[in-house]
Amino acid sequence: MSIINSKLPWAALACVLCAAGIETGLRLRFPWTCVGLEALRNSLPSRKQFAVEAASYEAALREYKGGGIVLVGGSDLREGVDTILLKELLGGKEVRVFGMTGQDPLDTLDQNDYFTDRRPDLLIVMSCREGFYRGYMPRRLKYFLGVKGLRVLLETAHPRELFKMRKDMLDGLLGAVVFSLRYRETIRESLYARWGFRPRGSKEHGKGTAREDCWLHPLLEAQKAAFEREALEMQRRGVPLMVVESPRRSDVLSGYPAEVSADYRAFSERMSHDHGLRWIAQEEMPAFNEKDFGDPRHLSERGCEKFTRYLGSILMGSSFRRTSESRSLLDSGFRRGDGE
Amino acid sequence: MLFNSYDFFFLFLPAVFAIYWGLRERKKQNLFLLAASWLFYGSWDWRFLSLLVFSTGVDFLCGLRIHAQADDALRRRWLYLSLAVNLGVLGFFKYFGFFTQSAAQVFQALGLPLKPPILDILLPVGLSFYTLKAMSYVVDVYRRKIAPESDPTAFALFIAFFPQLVAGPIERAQKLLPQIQSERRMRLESFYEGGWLVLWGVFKKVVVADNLARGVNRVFDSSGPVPGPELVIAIFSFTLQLYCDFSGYSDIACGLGRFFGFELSWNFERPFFSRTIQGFFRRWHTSLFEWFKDYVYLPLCGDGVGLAHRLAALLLTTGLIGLWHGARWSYVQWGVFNGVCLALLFWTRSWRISMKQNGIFPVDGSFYRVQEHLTALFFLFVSMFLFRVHSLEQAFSLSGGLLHWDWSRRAKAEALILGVLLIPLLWQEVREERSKDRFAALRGGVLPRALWYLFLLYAVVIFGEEHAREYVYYQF
Repeated sequence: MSIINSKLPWAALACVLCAAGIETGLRLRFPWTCVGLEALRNSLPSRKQFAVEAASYEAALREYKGGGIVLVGGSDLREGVDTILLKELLGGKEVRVFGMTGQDPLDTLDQNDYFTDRRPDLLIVMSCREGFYRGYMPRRLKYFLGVKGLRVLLETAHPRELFKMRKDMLDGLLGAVVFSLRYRETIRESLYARWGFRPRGSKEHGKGTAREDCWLHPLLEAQKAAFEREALEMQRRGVPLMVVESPRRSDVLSGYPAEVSADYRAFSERMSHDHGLRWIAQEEMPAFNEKDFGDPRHLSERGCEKFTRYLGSILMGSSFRRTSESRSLLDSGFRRGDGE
Repeated sequence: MLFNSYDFFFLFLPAVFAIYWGLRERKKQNLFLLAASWLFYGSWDWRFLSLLVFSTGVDFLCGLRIHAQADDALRRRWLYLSLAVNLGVLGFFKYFGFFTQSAAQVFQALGLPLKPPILDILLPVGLSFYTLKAMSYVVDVYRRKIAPESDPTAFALFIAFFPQLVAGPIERAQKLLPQIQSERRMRLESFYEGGWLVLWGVFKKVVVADNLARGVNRVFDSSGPVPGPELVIAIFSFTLQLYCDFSGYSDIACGLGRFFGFELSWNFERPFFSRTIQGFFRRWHTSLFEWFKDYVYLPLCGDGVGLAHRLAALLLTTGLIGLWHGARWSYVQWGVFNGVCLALLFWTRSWRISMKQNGIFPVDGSFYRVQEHLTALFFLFVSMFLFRVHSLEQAFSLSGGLLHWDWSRRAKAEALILGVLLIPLLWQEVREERSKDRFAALRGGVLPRALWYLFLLYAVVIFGEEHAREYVYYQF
C-alpha cells in the first residue's frame, strides 16, 4: 500500500530543520546563561549541579576573548580553585577556569586551538593520574573528541583497542557535533533534580578507589601523546604552559599502584626536561589534610582556599620556567599586582 | 550486536544497507543479506553460528526429502528426524539443566538422592525463535501446504534474516519465502514507514522500557516484601516495560525489514486495548501464539473431541508456551495460569452468551465495556506478576507487602516516571487504535508531525540509556 505516494517527507525534513535550529541555538551563550540561572535557583547545592557545570563551562567558552591566566582541567579544578580569590591575589589579573568533569588530555587536545588562538598569558593544566591512566572517556565530558584526538588515537592505539572503543569514539564524535547529545546526562539529571528525586544511577564523585580507577591502560600512550602534542603546540605558538597536579587525599595517593606512580613521575620529568614545562607535583605543595577534602578527589572550601593561595604564591613568584617565546608575564601583570 | 547499539546503527546497518542496494541482482542481494545475517548472529558468539548453520542444513534437507517421498511412512520419518534434531537442540541447550535438576528433586522427594550431571551450557541467542520457524517450515512441507525451497541461500536467509532472527516475529515460510524469491525495489514510502517504525521502536525500547527497568528490577530482585504501592507500580511498570521492550524490538524489526524491501508480520496489535483475555492473546506476541495454536493446540484437539479434551489441550498448550519462555517453573505456572483463565472463559462461554441474550448483562452499555476491560487488565497484571517473579515463594513473599500501604518517596517517584512515560505511549497508541492504522503518525499536518518526531528524537537522545540494554526476549 502506498502511504505517501513518493512525496517528499516534509514532516521529517521539518523535524531535521528544527533539530538543526535547536543545535545551533545551543551554541549561543543565551541558553547556557538561562540553564545556569535556572540551576542556581534550584535548592540543591550548586556545586553538585550538573547544569551549573555545563552552563559555566559553555558560558566560559563563549565569554573568554583572550589573554590572562587560563586554567584547564577536570572537576578537581572547577571545585579546587577559587577564581575570585586567585584574581584578587594576582592583583586583578584576568583568570579563567575551564573545568569540566573528567577532562583528560585527549579531550583537551581538540580544544587547544581555541586557547592558543586567544593567546593567554599563561595556560595552566591541572593534571592527575586518573586523566592518563584510567580507561578512556569518562562518563560525562567525553565529547570534545575531534580530528586531532582521533589522529592521536589512530597513531598510538592498537587496532584491537580502537575496535574495542569504537562505541566511545562514535559517541564522542557525534557529541562533538550534537550538543544535546553531549549534555544529555546534564539535561537529564537536572530534570530529575527538578522533579524532586535523586538521579537514578548517579554516583558521588570519587567513590572508586585509586586502585580501581588507575592502571596501565592500553590507551595510556594515546593520552601521553595527546598531552605532548598539546605542549608542543603551545610551545610553537608561544603560549606559556604550566602543569599543576591536582591534590589528592592521602588514602588516594597511597592507593595508586606503584607502577602507575613511577610511570607518571617519569613522564612528568621527561615533559619538564624536553619541553621546559614547570610541572608542580603534590609533594611540592603544602600538606593537605582530611578537612581539606570534600571527597577523596575534590577539595573542600577550606582546601580550595589553601590550594588557591598556594597557586597564587606560585604565580606571583618567578619559580616557573618560561619558554623562550613566552611573553613577560611576570614583568607586567604579576609584578604590578604584587606591587599594588 | 543489539538493535539499540551504536555498532548496529552506525556501522552495521549503513554498511549493509549501502552494499545491499548497490547489488542489483536478487540472488546477489540474498547471498549478501545471508552473509550479513550470519555475521550479525556470529557477533554474539561464532559457536552459535555453527549451530544455526547445522539446524538450517538439516531442515533444508528434510524439507526436500519429505517432498521427494511418495510413501507417507518415509515422509513421516524425515519429519521426525527434523523434529528430533530441532527439539533435541532446543532441549539440550535450553532445558537440559532444568530437567535434570527437576528430576533430581523428584527423586530426592521419593527418598532416592540423585546427583544430576552439571553442564555449564550457554543458551544460544534466538534459538527458541529460529527453531520454531524451522519446524513450522518442515511441518508445512509435510502437510503439503507449501513446496520445499530448493535454493539453499533463500532457505538459509528465511531462517537467518537478521531483523527477526533473535527475537522474532516467528515468520511463516508462506509469507517470507515468496518475498525472498521475488525482486525487490527501493520504494520511498517503505523508507518512511520503516523509518517511523524504527524511531518509534527505539523510543519504546530506550526511553520507556529501559527507564522503567531499574525500578522494576529493584522490586523484583528483592526477597522480602516491599510496600504495596511500590509493588503495584512495579507490576504496572513491568507490564509496560515488557510490552515496550518486545514490541519496540518487533517494530524495529519490521522497520528494518522495510528498509530491505521486506514486509514482516506485526507481532503486537496494541494489546492493552483488548477488552477480553482471549483478545489480549490475539494481540500480544501474535506470531508465537499463532504458532502454538497451529502446531500444538489444533493437532492436539483433533476433530469432534469433547470439552474436557479441548480444555486439557488448552492447558497443555499454554503450559508449553510458558515453558518455551524459559527453563523455569515460574514460566510454566504463568502459562498454566493463562490457560486456566482461558479455559474458564471457554467453559462458561455458552452460559455467558445466554445471560447476555436474556438481557441480564447490559452488554452494550459503557459501564459493561469498562468493567470488562478492567477485568481483562486485572488478569493481565496478575499474569505479568507471575511471569516476572522468580518463584511462587517470591510471589507470596512480595504479595505480603500489599498489606502495608505506605506511599514512600520512592513509590511516588516511580509513579511519576510511569505516568510521564505513559503519556507519549498512550498518545500514539490511541491514535493508532482509533484509526486502526499502524502508520497514523505518517498522516496529518506537517507541523504537528514534525513536532512529534522532534519530541521522540530528543527523548531518545536525552533519556536513552548510554549503554545498550539487552532486550528482555533475547533470554528466551
